[in-house]
Amino acid sequence: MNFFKKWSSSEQTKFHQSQTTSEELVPEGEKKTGLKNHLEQNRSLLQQVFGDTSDFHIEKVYTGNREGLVCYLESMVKHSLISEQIMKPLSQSSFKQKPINKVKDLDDFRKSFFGGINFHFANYKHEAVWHILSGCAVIFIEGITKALAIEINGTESRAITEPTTQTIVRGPKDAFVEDINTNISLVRRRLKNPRLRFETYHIGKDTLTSVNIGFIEGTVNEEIIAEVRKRISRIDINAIFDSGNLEELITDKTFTPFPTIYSTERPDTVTSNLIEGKVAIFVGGSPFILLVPTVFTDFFEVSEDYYVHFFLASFLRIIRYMAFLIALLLPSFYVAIMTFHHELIPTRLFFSLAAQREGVPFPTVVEVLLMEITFEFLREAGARMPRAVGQTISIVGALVIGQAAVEAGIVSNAMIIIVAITGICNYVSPVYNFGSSSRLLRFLFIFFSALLGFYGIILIVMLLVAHLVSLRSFGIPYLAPVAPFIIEDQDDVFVRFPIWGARKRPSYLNTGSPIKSYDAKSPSPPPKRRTDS
Amino acid sequence: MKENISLWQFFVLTITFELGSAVVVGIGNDAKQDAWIAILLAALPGFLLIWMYSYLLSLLPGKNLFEIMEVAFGRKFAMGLTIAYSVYFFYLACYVLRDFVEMIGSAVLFNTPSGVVAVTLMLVIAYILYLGFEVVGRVAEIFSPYMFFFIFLLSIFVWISGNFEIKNLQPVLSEGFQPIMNAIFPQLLGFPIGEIPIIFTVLMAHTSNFKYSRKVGMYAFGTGTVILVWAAILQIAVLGVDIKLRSDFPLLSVARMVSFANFFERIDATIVFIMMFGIILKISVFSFIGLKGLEYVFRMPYRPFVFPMSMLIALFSLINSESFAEHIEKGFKILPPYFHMPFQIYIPLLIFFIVIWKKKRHRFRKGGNR
Repeated sequence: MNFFKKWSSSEQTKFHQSQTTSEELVPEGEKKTGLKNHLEQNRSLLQQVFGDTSDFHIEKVYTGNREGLVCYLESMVKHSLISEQIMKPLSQSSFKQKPINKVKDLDDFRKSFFGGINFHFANYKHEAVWHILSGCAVIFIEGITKALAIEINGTESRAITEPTTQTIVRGPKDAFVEDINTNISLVRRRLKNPRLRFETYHIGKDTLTSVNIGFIEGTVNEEIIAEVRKRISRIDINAIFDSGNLEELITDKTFTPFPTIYSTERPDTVTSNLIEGKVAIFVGGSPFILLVPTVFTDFFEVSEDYYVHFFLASFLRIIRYMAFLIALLLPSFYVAIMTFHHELIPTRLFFSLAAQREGVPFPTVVEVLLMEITFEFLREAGARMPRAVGQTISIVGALVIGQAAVEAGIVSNAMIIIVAITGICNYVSPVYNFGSSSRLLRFLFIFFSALLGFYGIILIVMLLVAHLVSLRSFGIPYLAPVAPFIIEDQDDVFVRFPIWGARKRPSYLNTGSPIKSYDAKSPSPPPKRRTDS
Repeated sequence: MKENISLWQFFVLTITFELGSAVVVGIGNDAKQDAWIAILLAALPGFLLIWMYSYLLSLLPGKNLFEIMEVAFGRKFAMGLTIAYSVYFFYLACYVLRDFVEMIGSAVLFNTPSGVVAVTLMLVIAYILYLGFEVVGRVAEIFSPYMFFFIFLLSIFVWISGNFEIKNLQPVLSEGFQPIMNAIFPQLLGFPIGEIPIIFTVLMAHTSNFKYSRKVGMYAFGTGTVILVWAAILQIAVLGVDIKLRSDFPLLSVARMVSFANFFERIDATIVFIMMFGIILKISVFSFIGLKGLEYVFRMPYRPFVFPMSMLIALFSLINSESFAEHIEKGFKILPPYFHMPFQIYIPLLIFFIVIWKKKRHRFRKGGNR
């Protein structure tokens, strides 16, 4: 069903009303058709469009002195709502209604019977079709060339639950769901700021997925928001199912293992990032909200960092950086040391490691690759398996990566430890797709450490750092507060300063208002002056 | 698009560059135990040169050495000179690369063919250069702290291990100033001191804020020199003059002496990897300047040259000298008087005076018209 051209409303910025129809909704290669005077003509227009799909419903009604049609998609509305919100007022209207003779009367009609419900008027066929598709009941009246669309969004959606991928111990426990309106309201509830703006776009020729960008006017960098608008309206694709699709379409550079867009399912993370001056992108049908621009260090920050004591938060951040490095480098370090640089570790440690490897028939690199790939198998099976067989995987997995493998003489004990530590460290990153970068690059490191030892590792590290510093996210250097080094942004990178101490927004974002709060102070009283005289 | 580096990046890049290979290979050997005095004294003309060259750049803002040569000599002659300069810088890159290849071969990868080391390193450098000079600056920013930190750590470790014999520095100035002068001219002045002002003639044109770049450059040069002096003191005090003179890479020998707590032993390999950052940056900077020269000659962005030139550097670094002894001999006997001095000092000074003369004449003529 290829009905609509890409529909965007980038030119509308002020107080954007969602679901505004536009000229661009006209099907490709067709002129726009106005609605007709006669009901039967309108009915055949719609039936032409919808064909004989079984969930399309046209009902004949009487309103006041005239005949009317109510059209809706059964699959998009709740039946009880139709009878309560449309049919009941309509049947009442047949007694009380002033005659509807002109287009102008249609509005009076709406005011008296459908007050307080979201509505739209449709003058053209494509507008009526669009409203029907987005879950409205559209009312046509004999002799009127305008149709009234009443919003009855009665589709079922998942209830708000705890986040499944980004869990925290202390802090709010709600997560985004698939319904975009619920998601927006989750953010709006936390941010009672009149300058919070949302703009709606519809992307995907076939799916017309609604995409909302949210930002705080005056705080956000105007250039970034313009860039986001530009990239979103430039998208030319037929379907969007998840924010992951959109991420790939608007990211700065595709050929990189590192994500340059942050995705989260936590409303508090989105809210705090909006306040920092970032832009949130909501995609209909996806519980993951994108945040741009994103820098490398964002992937080591969790919203919980701000809810616990800053000593602990800073400690945890440093732990996360260490974990990232370990997940990336540890197996390759092991290979390099065992193959090339025996002298780098204390002699006795090396002897004990070498003794363990005595019975192992493979070179170190084969051993490492064997175990790492086994671990990847296990992980993939664990993520995809049906819940019912979960036990099997964990039991078998414990055997494969465990004592049994050692006793079978395939790998050494130290190898098990290495793989286990690496696997654990890989999950420390709060964002899942960031962990995947170290997961992939690890194999590159193993390969080069087997070829050139530490020299190879350092070469790849240089390569990686050069690659990282060349990345940008919506124009912002990816390693922003580190390279280029910005001293005043260091209050929230490797350590977190107390909340009253971090008063500025990140300066690399070039926000509209650089200072968050002017006179935030420590709650402890100022030191008393000695007044003994 | 002109790519610029921030002043902070310029600062750390300069220090890392100056330390680059100079901190690992022994310098100022002619001055024996007074090598550190020689380095200190050699820095004085260095400051003077930096001042002059930055003044030269400020006369023609936004232009680098090659474009300034055009003002001084006209495009044709400047082109020939630029090619000579490019070759010179590429040769320096080769030289530093050979230093490094030998260091890797002698300290960590004993059986790996040196060609593999040279080519892999140049591939990484080619990638960095391909990404642009901005990336060079940021890479320096990320890695230089580790370099400084490790030199600091090494000093602490050596001191804890109890190998630091300050007596080795005595007697100070036992043979008067003559050996020191011999060490400075032209050796120390050519490498590492003179390299800084000459790279500034191109790098300063790429800083985001030219106004302060002279000051920052001077500070960076001063800091780098202090670290070099400290490295020399460390080498002499730990190894003694004799071993220092005989050692190819005195700093590695120093690191080899570290041993305490049954854990920190044989850290020389670690030192090699840390110093590797400095060497990569040094080769990158030399190649970048050489490529800038090619950019000037061929009037096109340098990116297409990056890969072929880096492979050539890898090749020539290996065939340039038969052995490491020949390599060192070239570096200390042939390069300083016949290459470093003309390229680093004589020609730039000539340009300096010609440009000033032309400016004066120009101003005079302007005044006459008024």
